[in-house]
Order: sequence, then structure tokens, then C-alpha cells
Amino acid sequence: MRVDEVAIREFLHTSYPRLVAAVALTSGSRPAAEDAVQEALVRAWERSEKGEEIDSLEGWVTTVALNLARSGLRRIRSERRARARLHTPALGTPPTADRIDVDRALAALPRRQREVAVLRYYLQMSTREAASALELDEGTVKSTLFRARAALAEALGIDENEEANDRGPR
Amino acid sequence: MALDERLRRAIEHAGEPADPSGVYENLIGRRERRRLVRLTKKVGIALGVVLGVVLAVLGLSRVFTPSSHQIGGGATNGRIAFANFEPEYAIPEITAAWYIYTMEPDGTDVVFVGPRAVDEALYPTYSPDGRQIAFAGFIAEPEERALFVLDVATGSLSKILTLDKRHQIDGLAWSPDGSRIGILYTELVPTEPPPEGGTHGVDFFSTIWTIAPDGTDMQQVTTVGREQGFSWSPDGTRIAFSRYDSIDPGEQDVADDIYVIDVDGTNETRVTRDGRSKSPAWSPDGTLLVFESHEPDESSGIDLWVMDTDGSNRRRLTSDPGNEFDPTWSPDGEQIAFGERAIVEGGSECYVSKIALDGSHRERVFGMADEEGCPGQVGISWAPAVPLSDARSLPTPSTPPSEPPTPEVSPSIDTSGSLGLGFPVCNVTSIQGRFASHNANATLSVATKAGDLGGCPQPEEAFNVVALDTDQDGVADASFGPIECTLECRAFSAPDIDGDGTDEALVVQDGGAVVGLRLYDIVATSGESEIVPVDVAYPGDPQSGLLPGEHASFLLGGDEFELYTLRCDEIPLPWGLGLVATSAEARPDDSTDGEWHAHQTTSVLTSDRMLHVLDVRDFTEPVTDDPGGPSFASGETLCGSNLGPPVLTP
Repeated sequence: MRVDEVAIREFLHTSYPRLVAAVALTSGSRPAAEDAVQEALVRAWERSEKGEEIDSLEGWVTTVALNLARSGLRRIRSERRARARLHTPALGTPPTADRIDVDRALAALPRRQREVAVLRYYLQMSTREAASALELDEGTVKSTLFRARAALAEALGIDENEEANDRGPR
Repeated sequence: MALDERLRRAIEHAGEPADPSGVYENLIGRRERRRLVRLTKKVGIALGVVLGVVLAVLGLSRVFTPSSHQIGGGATNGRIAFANFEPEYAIPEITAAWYIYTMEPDGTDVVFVGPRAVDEALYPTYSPDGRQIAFAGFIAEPEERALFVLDVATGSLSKILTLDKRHQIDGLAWSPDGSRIGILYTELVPTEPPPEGGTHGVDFFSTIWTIAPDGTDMQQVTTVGREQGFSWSPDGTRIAFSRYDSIDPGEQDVADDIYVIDVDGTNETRVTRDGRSKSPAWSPDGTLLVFESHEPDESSGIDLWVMDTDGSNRRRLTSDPGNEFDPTWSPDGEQIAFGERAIVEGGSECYVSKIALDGSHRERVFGMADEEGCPGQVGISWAPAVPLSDARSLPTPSTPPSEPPTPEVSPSIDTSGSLGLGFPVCNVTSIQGRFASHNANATLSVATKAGDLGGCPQPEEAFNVVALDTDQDGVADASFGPIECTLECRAFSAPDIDGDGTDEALVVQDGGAVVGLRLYDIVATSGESEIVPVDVAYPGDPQSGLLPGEHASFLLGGDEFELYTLRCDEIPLPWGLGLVATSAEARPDDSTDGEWHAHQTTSVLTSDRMLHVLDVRDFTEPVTDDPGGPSFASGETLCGSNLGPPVLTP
């Protein structure tokens, strides 16, 4: 696809809000997430202008933004810059207790499990899409999700057995 | 409900979608900045420390020039130092990047000080005699934050305090008697979100400390952890500072007030109670504090106010819709310099400005676009004038004979002299090295022939020459030219590539995406010297740009996904030292989990002044987070050249 102003604006309208949220969930930092997604978008834009083909803007930007957000250094710098701009009141709603629990549960997961969980549960990607975005094979995504799922259930106090009960008699 | 669905709902609830409004405009700016960075920053990165020394010394020699404002006797106003965003040297994803500039108080003679030995320099503060600047430095690779002191006369840099990765410096102020440096010392606490919510991932715990300028005797002054801008009393016994208190769970809105405390941490007194006062600066006569404040509804932005040190007699100094911040007094106490973000149609503009104490003579003395922040936002310092007698005794950098050859940089840009070449020159850059003899330094310069009307032509259109002054009398004893320049010609380094005890010369003859370095050797016989370009012996290695019969040229620079490195290695006898040039590309691009695909050429310089390629190999290795970079990264030195820490990073 061609990444131009129209595509960028469309992406900002449709995908950007949730992708930033997803990267924030995986990185633990909202400023770093915004920084990473915007940087990835600009790179996609530049590549397209150079004639490179980008099959899926959302997939490409997701992959690159996650890579960028993994850099702890980048995160610290983004945080600091954001803080330096505290003159301007920032937007954002105070988190609820439930949200804090989820944040903590996600933060306790290994990075890969956290990313897989967020891509599957928040961005609602298929196993295949998540595998592509994370540059993993599908089997790894499945096994990683299995472990993430169990850890999240435990951390959030969800009884895994309820799932079997929900399914009813086999 | 199925577990997956319950998890999906829980995580869905935790995610907070971003507001895309204004983002497109951000992207436009970001793209332009990346374009500028691509054009220029790799030159800066690759030249690294050496270029930094050039710029620092060039700049600092001018810093030391007596101020036109000096009127003799008492505290008179010298130059203003401030931190400013420098897009040319930004490292995407890592630095903004801020560096130190100085200027005359009227905004003339703006000098980039850098120093480029670091990747960011913040919070410059002059020593009270104006001879040194302390600043908070950040080095990207290996990652390091430290407190540095720069000698303005010599350009020498001392690291007096190294911070671990969980600390950073958020403010500095040199004490009036010069015996201590105050530090706003921040601990970064990368924890899970606090129970009450707020910034995820990193919490900031800032306290005020002092340290001796030699890096010893660090002592804590405040302990609360929410301290911000601070300033010494002129007698050095007290410190005024501001502290914020959260007034919402996310710390997005805070209440700031000003306090005064004894330097030993006792007798803390709260001076303001309005929740809107911060960043005090103590007047040189000790009677006033200038500080930031704003209306309760922030309708007129942040303004500057002045009050007595006990909080009485508060009066407004500025009043406009923009923000004025980080005030600092002139040494004579008559004026106040500050950072300014001015509201203009379509956005904002940034300035370092000044105003007289009575509110008159407000003047914008340095301006730039509002990008990553405003100049001065992370530090402004106003020095006293340096006595003329000191300026006259400006020391000349030199290399002690007993030390290993280390390139030193001439502090002058000669726009009118000729270097003894018979024509006026400009754009002169110089390095010192043992070019002609084991025992004595010589100066190698790269210069451009000045235009007929006195201007300096662009490098690519100019007659550029390499000149060698073996007896340091300012007159060239040998020269070679013309040399071609694409974007830039510059003396770069004096390495001893063949290990024979005398230096060769690496000269920048190209610029842009990566730096192109050309290798020259000096032939010295019977007191005569000759500059000889080193050519590549057959068959060379065309893939790495070493074409047989052509001038030996290396590339240096790159970014996190495309890298050119150059280092020296011991080569098995009889060769001794060799040059190892590596070009590498990370695949897949834009991934930190990829693999370097590298092409490496090892070559040696022989007595026939030819570069012989000994070995060529291709290899791969994983891209890692190793702060030292990949195995083929440039080393700290290049055949004896002091290039400082590695600055080329994947």
C-alpha cells in the first residue's frame, strides 16, 4: 500500500488511538508509547516515499513501535521530556483500581508474554497477526499466550476452572 | 464467561486510547527533523569527540574573549551560557539533543560550545569567576550520565561525578564562592504504577545536594524528593528552591512553593504559600528572589515575579500570554535572563530573553523554533566578565612530549591569514600530531582558499588544501592540494596507523549520511616534509570502497541499522597494526532483534605509502542491547588517536 497523507490520516483516525494504548500497556509508559508509534509512522511514511512497499501499515507500525518502545533508554528520555513540559497540563484520566490491577498484572509478565497478551486481548489480533507483528512463529505465540493467560488469571484472581464450567458438559 | 473473554474485557478496560488530534502536525515536524538529522547528524556522530574538541575549543576560546560589556571593577556582565536543542546532533530515539551555547548578553557572537564529547549537555552553570562551566552530561553508548566541569580556557573536560542508570541531574548551580556545586539529583524509580495512579513506569525523586568541584564530599541538603529549581544565596550559606506537591493523583497538576534552607539542610523556611511559585533565583545583593508564577487559571501563562527573600513585596515582572521561565540574574544584579516560550500565530517560538529589574528593556536575544523544548529550559547561567589580562594569557593547547601522540586542535579559525600558503584562507581546521618526527608535534591543517571578495566558498566549490607546519611557526612547511570536498573538508585525526611512532593523517573529505575519511602519510627526509595521499594497492576491496590505485578512503558513521566503523587491530607479525573497516546492515531493518550482516576489510599501510588489503570477510552477528555495540564497533582509540568513548551505535 502507499503510505501518504490520506493513509496516515486514516490510520490516525482508526488505528492510532488503540495502538498507542496497546504499546503503553506493553511498555508501561504512555509518553514512550506515543513517541514510538509516531516515530514508526514517520518511518513508514519515509519508506513508502522511497518506493518501498508496505503491505499493512498497521502491522508494520505495530512491529516497529513495539521494537522502539522496548528500548528502556528511549522510554526514560521520553518520560523526561514529557516531564520537562509539565508547564502544560497533560491530558489523561486517573486510573481506576481495576485498571491498576491489570497494569500490575501485565507489568509482572515477561516482555514477550505481555506483548502477546496485549496484541491478542487488546488489539484482538489473530495468532497469525500477532506472530507477524512480533516476528515470531505461530507456535511460539500460542505457547507464550498460554503462559501469559495463566499468569494473568492468577494475578487478577480469575479462576481458570471457570472456563471449563462455562463450556458446560462435553 | 470464558477466561479469554474475561481477560479481554479486563485489558480492554485498562487500555486508554490516545487522542489523535494534532498528531499529524507532529508527524510533519518529526519527519522534517529526521530529514535534517539524516543530512547532518551522522557527520557529527562520527566525528564524535574529535569534532567536539574542535567546536568546544573554538567556542571556548571565544567564550574567553573579554566581553564588550566589561567596564572594569566589581561584578560586570560577561557571557550567557544556555542549553539549546541542537537538531544536527540529535540521535533519534536517544537524544533530543541539548548542548551548551554561549553568547554575549546582547545576543551577538553566539557560539556552540557542545561539548561533543557527550551526546547531551544540560544545565550549564558558570563558576563564579567565569573560568569553568559545570553541566550534566549524557553519553549514549555506553549509556552514562555524569557531572562534568569544562575549563573554558583550555577546553579540557573533567568528569567529577558518574551517576548510575537510576539517577540523573535535573539542575545545577555553582556556589558564589566557587567551593561547591549544587545539584538537583533525581532518582528514577522504574516501578509499577503507584497505587494512586500516575505516570507509569518511572517515578522521579529529586533532592538537592552539593559537591566539591573536584567531585568529592557530596552532601545532601533536602530530603523530601519533590524539589525543583534552586539558587544559592550570595553569601553561600542558604539555598532557595521550589518544591511541588501533587494536587491530583496523576501529578499532572501540582502546587509549587518556594522555600529557603541552610546549606547544611537545617532551618527550612517556606517563603510562599500560593502553590504557584517556583524556580527562584537569588539576586547578587541578597535581597530579592525572582521566580516563576502564574495566575490561578493560567490565563496569562507563566510569568516572572520578584519578591523580597521573606516573600514580601511581591511584584510582577512580566505579563503576557506566553511562558517565561528559569530566570537567572546578571552578575551586576541589574538584569534578569530567562527562557521564553512566546505564543505566536500558529504555535509558539522560543527565546532566551532578558529584562531589567524595573521591567524595562525587555529584549529577546536568542531565538529558535519550539521543537523539543525552548532554549534555556534546561539551564541558563550568566557569567561575570573575564578580566582582559586573563584573556590575553589564553593558553595554547599542546601535547606534552612524554605523552602518547594525541591530536590537539588549533583554537583558531583563520579567516584572514594564509598559513604561509601565499593566499588568504578560511575554514581552517587543525590537528596536532607527531607527523614528521617521533619527538615533536607538528600541526596539520585543512583550509579553504578564500574567495576573491574575501568570502569563504562552499567546500565543494572551493580550492581546499592540506598543510603541514612542522616547526609550529604558523607557516606551512608542506602542502597538498587541491583536495576534493563533497560537503566538508576537515582535519580529523592523527593516528599512527602503521605503528612506526609517527602519525598519519585522516582528513574528512566528505560528509552527509556518513563521513568519508581520506588517509595521508607524511614523508620526512633531510628536514623536508611532504604530504602524500595513501593509495590502495592492487587488488584492494572494491566492495568496501578501497579501489586499487585510488586514494584510500574509509567511511565512518551510520545509525542503528546501518553502521560504518573503523578501528585498529594488532595484525600478526610482520605487519603489526592494521586498519579494520566494517560496513554492516541490520536485517530486518527497523528491528532491534535482527542480525548484523557485515563486510569487513583488514588492511595495512606499508613503507611504499600504499594500503594493502590483507583480509576480507563477511559475517553475521545478532543485534544485541550490548552497550558496547557490536563486536566490530569502533574502539575508544583509533591507532593512538584519542577518539573518546564509542559514539557509533546500532
